[in-house]
Amino acid sequence: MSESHAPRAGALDLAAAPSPLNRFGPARDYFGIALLGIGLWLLVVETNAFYSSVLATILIWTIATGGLNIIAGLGGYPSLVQGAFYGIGAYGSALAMKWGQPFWASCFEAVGAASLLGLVIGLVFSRTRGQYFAIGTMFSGLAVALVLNNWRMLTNGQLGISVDFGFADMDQLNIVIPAAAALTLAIFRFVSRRRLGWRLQTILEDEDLAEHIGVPTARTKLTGFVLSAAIGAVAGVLIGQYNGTISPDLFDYYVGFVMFVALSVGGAGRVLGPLLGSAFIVGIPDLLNLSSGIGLLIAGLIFVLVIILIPGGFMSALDALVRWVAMKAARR
Amino acid sequence: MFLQAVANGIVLGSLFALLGVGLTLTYGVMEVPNFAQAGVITLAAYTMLWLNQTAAWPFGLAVLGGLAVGGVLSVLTERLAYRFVRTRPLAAPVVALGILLVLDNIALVLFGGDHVSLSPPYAGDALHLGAVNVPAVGVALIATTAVALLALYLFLQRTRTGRAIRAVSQNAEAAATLGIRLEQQYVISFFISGILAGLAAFAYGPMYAVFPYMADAILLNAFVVVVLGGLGNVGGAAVCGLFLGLLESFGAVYISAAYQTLFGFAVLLLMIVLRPSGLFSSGARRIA
Amino acid sequence: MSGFLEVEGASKTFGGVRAVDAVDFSVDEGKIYGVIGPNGSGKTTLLGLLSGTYRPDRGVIRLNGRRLDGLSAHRTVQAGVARTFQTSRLFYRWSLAANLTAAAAARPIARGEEDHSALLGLVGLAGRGDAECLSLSNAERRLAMIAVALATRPHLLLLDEPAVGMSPKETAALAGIIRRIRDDRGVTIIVVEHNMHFMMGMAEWIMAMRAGRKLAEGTPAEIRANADVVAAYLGG
Repeated sequence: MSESHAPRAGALDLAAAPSPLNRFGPARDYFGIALLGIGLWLLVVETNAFYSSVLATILIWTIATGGLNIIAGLGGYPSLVQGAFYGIGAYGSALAMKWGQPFWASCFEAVGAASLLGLVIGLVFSRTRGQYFAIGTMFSGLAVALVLNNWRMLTNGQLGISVDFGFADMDQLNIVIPAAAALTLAIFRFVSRRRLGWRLQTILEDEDLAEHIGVPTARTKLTGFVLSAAIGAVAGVLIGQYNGTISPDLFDYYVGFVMFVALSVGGAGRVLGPLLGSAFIVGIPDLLNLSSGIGLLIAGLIFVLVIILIPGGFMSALDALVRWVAMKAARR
Repeated sequence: MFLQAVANGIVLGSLFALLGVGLTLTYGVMEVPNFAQAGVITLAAYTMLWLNQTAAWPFGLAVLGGLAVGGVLSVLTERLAYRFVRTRPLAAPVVALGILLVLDNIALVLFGGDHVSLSPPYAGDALHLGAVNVPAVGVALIATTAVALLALYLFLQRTRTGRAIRAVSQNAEAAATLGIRLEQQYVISFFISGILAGLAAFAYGPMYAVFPYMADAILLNAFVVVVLGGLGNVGGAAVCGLFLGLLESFGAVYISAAYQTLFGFAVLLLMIVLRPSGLFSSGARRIA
Repeated sequence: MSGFLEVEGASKTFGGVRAVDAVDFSVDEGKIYGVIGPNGSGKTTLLGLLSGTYRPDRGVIRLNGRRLDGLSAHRTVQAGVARTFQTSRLFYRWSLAANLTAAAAARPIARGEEDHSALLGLVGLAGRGDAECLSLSNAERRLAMIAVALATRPHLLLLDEPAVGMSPKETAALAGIIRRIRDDRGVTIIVVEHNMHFMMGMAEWIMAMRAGRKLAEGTPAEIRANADVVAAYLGG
């Protein structure tokens, strides 16, 4: 997988029409992402406690949906099970620490466990596509949630468990969360332009054709799926750290579903899609606080409107805006 | 105990069959996974509740009112939302969740979040057959399902519209060339699906409570039924609904109640891996 | 039999129908080999067996001594076999150049940098690299598919009804393109076609099929004169 064989930047732009935002070279993109990370950190640290915690949750969701973006955004496989890997990350690291593991080891173990499950689920559903894949992964998520809920010996069931704090202090955690979010976006950008990324995209465009131009589709999908799972687990580790306690509610089967929706609404296959989608999904209920009923109702309406009117999600709307502005500027 | 499990299984299976058939009907016509059906069920149930208790309608009329609301709501979801994402299967989950949130939260806002009970006049009764106890609501459920499925069968087999729906389900393009108006079939399918949702609300409401998220979990089971029976296969869904009901009932009695839905999942897993087109389909229409 | 491509006893049954029934043939390196036959004679299925799209139920397929039967499609591509399809298949939302890049780098060992302009020139699509494939005309799409297949650097190129939907002028040009591909790249080419006239003017050796079986084999002149072949086409 050497650089010389990879397509030149811009040759395989993600998704449909080339976006005006995708024309930058790697240096600018990574720099931009780094700046974004710093900006987010400042927001987390400087705003009041309420907004800070909403933002932290948004960023953790960005990590989870950013991971999902690999198999679902690049590969087009609608995985509805990301919530389960998120849950395994949280429970895995919490339990490992309870059993005496130091924090960083517990992280690796949790990510490893999630990756292993990802491998199993990926293999089981390796020959399914589209709706069947969605249904199958959704039920896998249900199975994991059921286990987390009912295996009381292990997980304490509905009551949840407390999570040992693995960092030096909150300041450190407040740096790690935005950094991890930025890193996730950077990893996505990296993968998307390398061979794994555009192999996944050929699978999205036409899987059978991809197979016939030499893409090892089964292996590629599995790699993408496991990578998505691993990153989802990292998000789980962090939510455990941030909240201090975890319970099965956080990882119920519909969480995977909502994560997929968040990604779609934000812009699947785009670097910033996960951030925008997570901001929307987590932010709207908390910020539109007329009463939770109306807030969620409006959120539901927005999902429907966005996905119907702007198939590419918020990022696609942003593209259109940038194009419009550029056109106006050129006219002057 | 065995016979009781059988009886419970038939009751549960009837519910699954009702739900599954409603879901698979729209699947067969439009390849749309209608998660939002749960919301339609919820609002249909609340309608019946409100008509019966607040507006003091007789129970039978209230049920009919609920059915009508179910049908209309379902059609609205198609006309206002699903219609626009037919060609984009990846957008369907988003639309479905959106609609579900809207419907569930309409219920929440209008009626509050408390668990209330929809009590038909026969609520307290039960049917005793030897060692087996079947609550009257369970009997009503079985009877409703039987009648509904029979009516649906006759409709699909004997009427022109019904045959048109089946034709569209098998091959939309060919059906269109035969002059069948696709849009009309979609609307009718959704309407019937909505009526079935209303029936499910009528049957399910008394057994479990009525609250804004009442149908969300049960719909998962309906999905298993739809996949098992073959997407779009009405007869398959009916049979598999019954089968799944029995399976879960026995699983709950003999193995573990907590993991009840897991049995359905296990079967689904086997199905998807071994025979994705379902137990009864004659051949995949389109590979997903 | 020791040809570049050797097929022995290849058979494939679909749902009780013998689509390909014990077909033997071999192709020498660098030749343009034609396969003709009426609809349903198994030509496309045969191509599918060679490309790894299907696994033969029976039979052996060898390319340069290496066995191809049983390999998946992508492994077959990596072994040096590429194909086009009866209906045009491309990554339509992408540009033509992007399609070529995808094909060129899909294999783990790229053989030098692929020069898109040379490839496009070869198939008669010079300068069309930046076009979105959706915007290509039917003939351009057929040619684009060939370019994409060539971008995988195959030793053996399988063309499935390449002239479908082309005008007589475009079809004539296609014949020239196919010959040029063989001359320029040293690729062995198997063409499945319906259009007898097109085939006769281009192939060096032809196999006629009927009902899944090999009916006859020979030079274009021999095939044209073969009574069985003529009957198959007229009798159906």
